[in-house]
Amino acid sequence: MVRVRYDDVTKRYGNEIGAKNIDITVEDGEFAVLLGPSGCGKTTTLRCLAGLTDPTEGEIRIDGTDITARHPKNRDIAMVFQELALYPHMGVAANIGYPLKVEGVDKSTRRERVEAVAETLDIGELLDRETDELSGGQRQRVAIGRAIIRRPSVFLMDEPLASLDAKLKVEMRNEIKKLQRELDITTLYVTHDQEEAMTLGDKLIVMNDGTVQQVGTPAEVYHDPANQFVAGFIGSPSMNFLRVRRKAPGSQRVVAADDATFALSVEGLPTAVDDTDPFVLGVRPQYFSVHQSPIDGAAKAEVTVTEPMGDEQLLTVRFDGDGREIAVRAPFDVSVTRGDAIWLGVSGERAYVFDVETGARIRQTELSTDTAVPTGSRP
Amino acid sequence: MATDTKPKRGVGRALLAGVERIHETLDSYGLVPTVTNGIALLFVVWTLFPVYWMVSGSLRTRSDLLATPPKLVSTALTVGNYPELFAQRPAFYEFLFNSVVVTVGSTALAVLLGTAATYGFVNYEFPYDLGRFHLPFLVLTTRFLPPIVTVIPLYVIFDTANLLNTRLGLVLAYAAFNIPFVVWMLKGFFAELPDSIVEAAVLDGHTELGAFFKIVLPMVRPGLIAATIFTVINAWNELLFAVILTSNTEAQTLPVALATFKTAYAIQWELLTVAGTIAMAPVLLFAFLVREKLLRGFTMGAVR
Amino acid sequence: MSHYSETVGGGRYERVLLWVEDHLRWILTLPALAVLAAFFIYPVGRALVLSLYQFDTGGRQFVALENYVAILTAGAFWQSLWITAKFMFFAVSLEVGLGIAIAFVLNSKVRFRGLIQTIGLVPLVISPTVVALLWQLLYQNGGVLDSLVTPLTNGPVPWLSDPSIALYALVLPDVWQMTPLVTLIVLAGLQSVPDHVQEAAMMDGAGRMRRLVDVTLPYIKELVVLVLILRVIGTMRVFAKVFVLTRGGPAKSTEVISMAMYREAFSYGNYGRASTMALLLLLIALAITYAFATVSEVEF
Repeated sequence: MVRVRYDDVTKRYGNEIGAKNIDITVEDGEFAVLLGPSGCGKTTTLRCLAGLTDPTEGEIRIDGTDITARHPKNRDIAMVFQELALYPHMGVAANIGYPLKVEGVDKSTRRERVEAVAETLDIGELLDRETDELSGGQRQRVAIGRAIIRRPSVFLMDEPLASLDAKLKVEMRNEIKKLQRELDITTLYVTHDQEEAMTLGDKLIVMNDGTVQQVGTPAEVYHDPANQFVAGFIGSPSMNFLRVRRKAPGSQRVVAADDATFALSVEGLPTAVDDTDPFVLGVRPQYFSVHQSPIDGAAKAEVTVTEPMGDEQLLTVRFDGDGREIAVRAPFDVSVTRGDAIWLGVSGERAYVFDVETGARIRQTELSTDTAVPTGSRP
Repeated sequence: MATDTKPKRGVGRALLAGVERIHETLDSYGLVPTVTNGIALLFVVWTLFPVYWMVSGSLRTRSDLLATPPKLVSTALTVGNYPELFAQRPAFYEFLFNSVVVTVGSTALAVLLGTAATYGFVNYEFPYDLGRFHLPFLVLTTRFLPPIVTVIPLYVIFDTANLLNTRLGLVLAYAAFNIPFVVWMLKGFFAELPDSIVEAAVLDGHTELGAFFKIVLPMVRPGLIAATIFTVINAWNELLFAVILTSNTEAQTLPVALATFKTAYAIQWELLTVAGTIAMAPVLLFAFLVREKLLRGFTMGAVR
Repeated sequence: MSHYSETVGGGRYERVLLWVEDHLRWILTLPALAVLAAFFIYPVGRALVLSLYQFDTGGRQFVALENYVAILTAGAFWQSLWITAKFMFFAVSLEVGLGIAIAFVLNSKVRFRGLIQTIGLVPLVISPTVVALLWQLLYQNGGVLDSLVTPLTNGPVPWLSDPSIALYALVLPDVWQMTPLVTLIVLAGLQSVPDHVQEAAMMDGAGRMRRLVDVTLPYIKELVVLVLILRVIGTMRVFAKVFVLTRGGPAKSTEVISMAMYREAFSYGNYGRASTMALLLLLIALAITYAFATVSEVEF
């Protein structure tokens, strides 16, 4: 049982905030992913657990034991670094076996376990090589091998795949996932790549500006974002945000907040925005209904760019009289070209409402999250 | 000299144009390789001749060495001067011993302290920018002090501390003067080490101190070797401190012995050449063995 | 990383280990800083005190700023500074000028370049004391140098005993020893000029001289400034060669600043005056260092 708990952890660098009021729990054997743009505090959060960074406030517990003031070597934590940090003056076998050597494990046992780990990672034939003779993917495996050989209680990874090319990334991703399942080690994984996060994580911890924005399963953060940041960060292409207001109090029709240049009807808007105050309407590109002739409640828009992508196409469109462009995903059989007019409709279930000032999500009442929508966030 | 660095000035222009014209003339006769190889040969002869002259002198008789006109090549070589030096001046055993002790001791101390300090400055944070800027800067400015500035008060200080005329005193003084040098040479090596290497070592079970010895030092080995080489040469060759802070065979080193070799009558050149050769031989041999590292050390900053 | 207050297992050894971890940055740096303080800062402070005293056979007595007044008004101090400056000027000009020229020659198609570079190391690793002796032997009356110049001078030259020649006779060994340093550094710079840059300039129609000025010189400019600094500082400290060859003579014609201070302290026993001179020299050295640091962008 290894359960990791951050209790109100804050890290300041002078006046700069590294991470603020981090309050998260990672359950035993869980694969948690810290996700966010660069500088959001995800790496700081990870390093606090490793003991490489000292939290300014708060406590970190492993299985209820406060380890905040414990030396990293006494935490039983292993980590894979973005730069991999292989020891350049040691060969592959020496690198993988090094934690055991420091621990004082005898040579023959060490060799056995190194071979076993290398077997798992499919690098058995590389053990006698030098690290600078290896390819990127092989170096990656060596770094992972060094981290798992000690059978740590917690396994940390800081953007381990960042330096790999796209194809290798997918391959290593699957392998890491499989390995984590087999070893059943509580894992924290830092990445800025949402696709990586979605495919790997049991639990996503989305961060921005040093604070946790939302904690949830990949489906939860995708379909039920807590705020405008999460909604915009997760999903590709990004969710469209329109600054709108009700046309009249209580009306189901919304218009552009400032000049009413477009109008479309959205059903089931939250009662919290009953008046004509502006709010932000978020719609993912694939959740517009696209029509080629005028239809009631749909807003007229002009196509400016078309990008065919096989089964579907990505359209960049502009509402009449409105300068802002929005992305729309349409089936391939919608035949349009640049300059054509289309009509976009929005279903209330697939639109999100956010506060104009804070970006906080404004919910209807009990919104059902079990809507079966394909998780195809891939471009 | 300024003309070489500022070619845009009139003089520099004219000089370069002159060189260019000579080059073209030579080129038209196909003489460029002859002239460049000739100059290179001249440089070699000019550099090696004085050394040759002393070494060969140590193997000649006095009259042969000081003959007028000089005999560039001698046919009557003898090794007799070598035992003669130690017979006439047995103190040379002690000078040699002192030189070795002071060189080894001060090098060990300077490299150890200098390496640790450099690593500390480069890898840790200090309040008020001390580590990133002020302290290293202070250390490095000491490299620019003429040693005579500190050696005079140091003489007075050593006098009260009973360090005058001791090998320990010289070891400390040389270590102090070589620490800034070690810092200067190693700074780049430590700066290039990724932080994550030490962090990985700590997560692998090391203390930070252990990681420094087991992981960091092996990784900067080329720098350590270069720093050691230069410190050894500096210490072995030093005269000013030695001549001021020591007064007899208790602690005097070879350079002091050489600098004060003159007798009341005439210089015993046949013996002085032996002493000079003995002082040169170890560094020349050492320099030859590590010539690649030495070249890189002297030209550091040139290529990086 | 710090504050490892918690000890797992709580052993005494572990506690010491963690204390060391917590204070590692100071443990690493303080010993060296202590040595430097003891051998640089404390002596300078001591010199400040000493400079306020007059030393004679009866002991020492407080004289306030008299030493400063005496030194700055008497000609001897300025004279030795002037001699140092002359030595510096001739030695540095020749070393840098010749050094660069030889570097260019060696950078063209010369045979045995590697061997010649190794030979260039020879003077650099020899003790200045021995260098002085090498040249003293060459300067012997009727010796090698005399026989070289005889056709021009009609007889032996009093290299080290003529006040009008002696300083130049000191410059020569320094030039012999340090020119290879300039050559090696500049040559390394020249060889770091990538071929493709030269080729690109050639494609652009630049002649040999254009290429030299526009392509090569920018590459070595910083290095030339660096060796210039190194040699100015090096010649300012010259001691061993003077000590062995002339002891400042004849008629004080080669009494460079370090020799003058040595004599003041250890021939006349006047540590007060010598310390005063040391402090004045310190100011000059700092001014030169500062000037170089601001003028050049070379990192020390």
